[in-house]
Amino acid sequence: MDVHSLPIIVCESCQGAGAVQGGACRTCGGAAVGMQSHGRFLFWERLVNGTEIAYRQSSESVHRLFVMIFGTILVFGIAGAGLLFFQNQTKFLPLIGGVWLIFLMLLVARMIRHTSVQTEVIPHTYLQSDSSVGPTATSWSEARRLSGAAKQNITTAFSADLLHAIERAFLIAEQNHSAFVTSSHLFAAILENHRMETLSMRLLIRPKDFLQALQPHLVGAAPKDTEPQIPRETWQLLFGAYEIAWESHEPVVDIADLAAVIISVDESIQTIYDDFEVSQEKFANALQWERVRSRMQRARAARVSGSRGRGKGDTNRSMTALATPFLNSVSSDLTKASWYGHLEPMVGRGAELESIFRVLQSGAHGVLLVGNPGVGRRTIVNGIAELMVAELVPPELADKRLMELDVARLLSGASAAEAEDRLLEALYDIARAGNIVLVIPNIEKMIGISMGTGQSMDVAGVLANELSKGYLLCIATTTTESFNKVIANQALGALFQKVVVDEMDVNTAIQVLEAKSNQFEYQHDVWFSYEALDRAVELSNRYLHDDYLPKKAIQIASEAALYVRNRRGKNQFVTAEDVSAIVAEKTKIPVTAVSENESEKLMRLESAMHERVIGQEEAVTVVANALRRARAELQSGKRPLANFLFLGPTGVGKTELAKTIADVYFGDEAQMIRLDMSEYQDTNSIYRLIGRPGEQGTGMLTEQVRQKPFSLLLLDELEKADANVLNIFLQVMDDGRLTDSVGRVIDFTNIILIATSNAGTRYVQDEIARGTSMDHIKNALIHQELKDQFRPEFLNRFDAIVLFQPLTQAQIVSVARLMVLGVAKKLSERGIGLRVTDEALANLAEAGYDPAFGVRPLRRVIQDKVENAIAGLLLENKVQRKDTIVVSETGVTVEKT
Amino acid sequence: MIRGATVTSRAFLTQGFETLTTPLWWYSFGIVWLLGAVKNSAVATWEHLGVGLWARNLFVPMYGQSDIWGRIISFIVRFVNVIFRLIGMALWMVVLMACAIVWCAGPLAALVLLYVGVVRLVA
Repeated sequence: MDVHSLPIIVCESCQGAGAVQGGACRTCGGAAVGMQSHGRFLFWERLVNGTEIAYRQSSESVHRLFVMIFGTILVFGIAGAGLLFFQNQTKFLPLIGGVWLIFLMLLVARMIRHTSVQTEVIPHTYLQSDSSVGPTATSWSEARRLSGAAKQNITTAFSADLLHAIERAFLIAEQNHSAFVTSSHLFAAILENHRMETLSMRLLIRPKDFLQALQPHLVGAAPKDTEPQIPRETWQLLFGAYEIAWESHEPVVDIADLAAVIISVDESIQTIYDDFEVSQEKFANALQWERVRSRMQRARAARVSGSRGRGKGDTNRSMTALATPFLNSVSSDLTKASWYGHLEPMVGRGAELESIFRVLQSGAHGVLLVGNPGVGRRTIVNGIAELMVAELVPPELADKRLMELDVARLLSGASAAEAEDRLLEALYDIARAGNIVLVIPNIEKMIGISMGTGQSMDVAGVLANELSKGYLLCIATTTTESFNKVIANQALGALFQKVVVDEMDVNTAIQVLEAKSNQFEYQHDVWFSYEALDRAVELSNRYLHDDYLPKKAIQIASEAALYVRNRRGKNQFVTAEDVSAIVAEKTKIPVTAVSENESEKLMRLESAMHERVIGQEEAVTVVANALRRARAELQSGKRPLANFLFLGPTGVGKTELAKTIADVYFGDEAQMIRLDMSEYQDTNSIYRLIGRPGEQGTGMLTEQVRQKPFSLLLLDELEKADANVLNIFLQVMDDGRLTDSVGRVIDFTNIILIATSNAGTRYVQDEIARGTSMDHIKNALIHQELKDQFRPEFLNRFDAIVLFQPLTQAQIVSVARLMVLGVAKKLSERGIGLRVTDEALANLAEAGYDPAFGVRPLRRVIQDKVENAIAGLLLENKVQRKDTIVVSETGVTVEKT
Repeated sequence: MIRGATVTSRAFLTQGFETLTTPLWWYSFGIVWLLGAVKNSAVATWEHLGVGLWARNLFVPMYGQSDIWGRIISFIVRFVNVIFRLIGMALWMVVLMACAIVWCAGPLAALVLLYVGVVRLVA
């Protein structure tokens, strides 16, 4: 909604003041500001000026004083009359009685006259015919001719808190010598409200700090004793608040509505919030917290008032329904549970409820709610129960009981024939009672259970048969997977109208958490900051792919509350970092903020990697930069953290670098999923990667990534894989996701994909021998040599194609030193030292170097010449603890301590 | 300060005047308010007692007993229910009427009591 385009008209005679020279304005009749909207003329009839505000305050005090005086007189009157009566002084009693009666009437009249009239925001009308559109007004003369029903004084739909805030805004403007009451003054006044104070605390902003930042915007330069005026822009905000309340179906315009309008238009307030690291969207969501709470309170009140006329028993109000003793024994009464307030409230899901009601009103006898586990199918059913109790449902559901069938209780311990009897008996109860709406949760549990042998029926068949008779109103739920697998093709599936319950969007899930947070706060004696809820939804949405919103976010928030209670004690705030810690613990993904230690480690990634990888400067730099970008969360979040292609001859450190990345970035070499692509040389091997159709958990690639979403994916010898297999990785590298054989979407956005290949090795070696530069070789390789192996669009998906260079003799010595250090480490665990002379090392390097095989022969040489000799010494017990084994040119000897 | 003093005296004057003119309000706007309150209470009680609902279902068998005896017993029970609920409604209307009468007679009763009191004192 664009507040500035609201067609408000401000009275020209009184300039929106509502009064001229102490009397009501003759042009607008005191209505001051108005607007035609929602079929009515809305106007503002409440004087907002210094005198009127002071008068209202005084008037309230004087009223209280009168009430107190009259009340005291009445109490003393009764006491005095009693005293005189017991003293037999009855001649005074008529006089006292007369006076007492007069004061009683004065008090009653006063109480009635001083009760302010509260109306509601105009309700939405969905079926408006042309004739129902009443007369409209675009000028004051037209407006004054309208009947009372065609107009509304919007101040009567404003909450007392909001009216008070508007008056406070005027006084704040006056105190700050501002010539106008602006949005800043309104916001400052709003922040004084205790509910907004709480909201600020949840945003981790001290109201005092915010007001301090706002102060420069409050101060004006008007001469002393100048009364601030309300400009058109401010009127638009006030009418805008009414519009927002209308759009949100709120019956009362409250503080949150005005705050929402102000934040949407006032850039200076947006900037202050930005400085406190609160975006406009975040503030809007936090405001919803306030709204959700008020809405829940109102819903509770509506439930209480609506349920007054409703009985708790089995029958309906007209007593036509029958008791259902058997059904009661195999099901639970959701309407009764709601009547007692045992069901959790529903937030959002208005569209789904509307669909369900529409389906039931259309004459269908069954609605099937289809959605993934955790999306809130059960909560929708609870919501229906709540609306049934409050009698806010279509006639088809009015004055009925919502009974949830317990399939396990129905079928347990029964023989085939008995089970069929039980189901029919329960359905018979429903048919006789006539006031039952049946809920069957997870209806797929009823399919595939055969009763008896031979030609006997399936439970689902019995249910389908009864459902088709039309006496039964049924709401069932199932998962998307079960629906596709077992229900869609069944007779039962055809009898139900499907209503899809999608996973909630992030903002609605935050609102659900806002509604649920109360419960966790009460249970664990902690407070949730808005950031914590926001992070719970964001991280669970990003990293927990086995569950769905809002359930997974609710679980995280619940655990975070307990975590804070155990770590820091009572009355502490649950912060975003606490939530991150829980998610990090669950997923092993470092989602917490980068600590100082970690930051230092990230800055010297190259040297850390060079501790294990010798040479290959380009590769190490490219990888280190990619890892830093990933940890600083600069990547798009829609692709893997990085996609690399490592090219080069064997034995130059390609796999070793991949292992190093797994160790350095993911914390463990084991966080690596390694696929030897030579095993996927035909088209059919795709199914080994993503799973056999319909069989869950059979994909080598998808299943491993699903279980370890934060890991390094190493595709060894990529050039050997079939071209169709490589096509799968096109999507992985581009979208960061892959659908497995059972339709689950596997997330690849937290993996680092590294493919290694020996393709073009001969060419590289030849060119190096000719002395061609590495850049030239790499270009020629990508543009010519690799074309036969990989398609250009495939190569294009890699963030970097790194050509590993053959190792020089000096580098080989370093590699030999690293390998020997590995042996020394193993020996040190036994308390034995190892010393290798430089000459021996050089000899080993020389013996182990083969340009065609890189450093692989070196490992064999070290095995033969060092490890074998040491093994001999150990087995012959020639070496003891604290001895040192010396490897020199002459051989392996022992240096005794 | 001046504004404060002015508005306070204005508030006292207004509410003092309001108090003095209470009898006029009592028999004008007060009566209108009373009629509204009586109407709202009567409608709410009618809904609460469900008289209309019982009357509409007069010939509908209770608890699904649609055999002849079930229908006869249901009709009798429903008829008795309608009668008792109507009696309840009537009683409540009497209470409301009594309130209305008390409202109207209140000021007169006060005057009578004052008159009697003064006469007794003088005598």
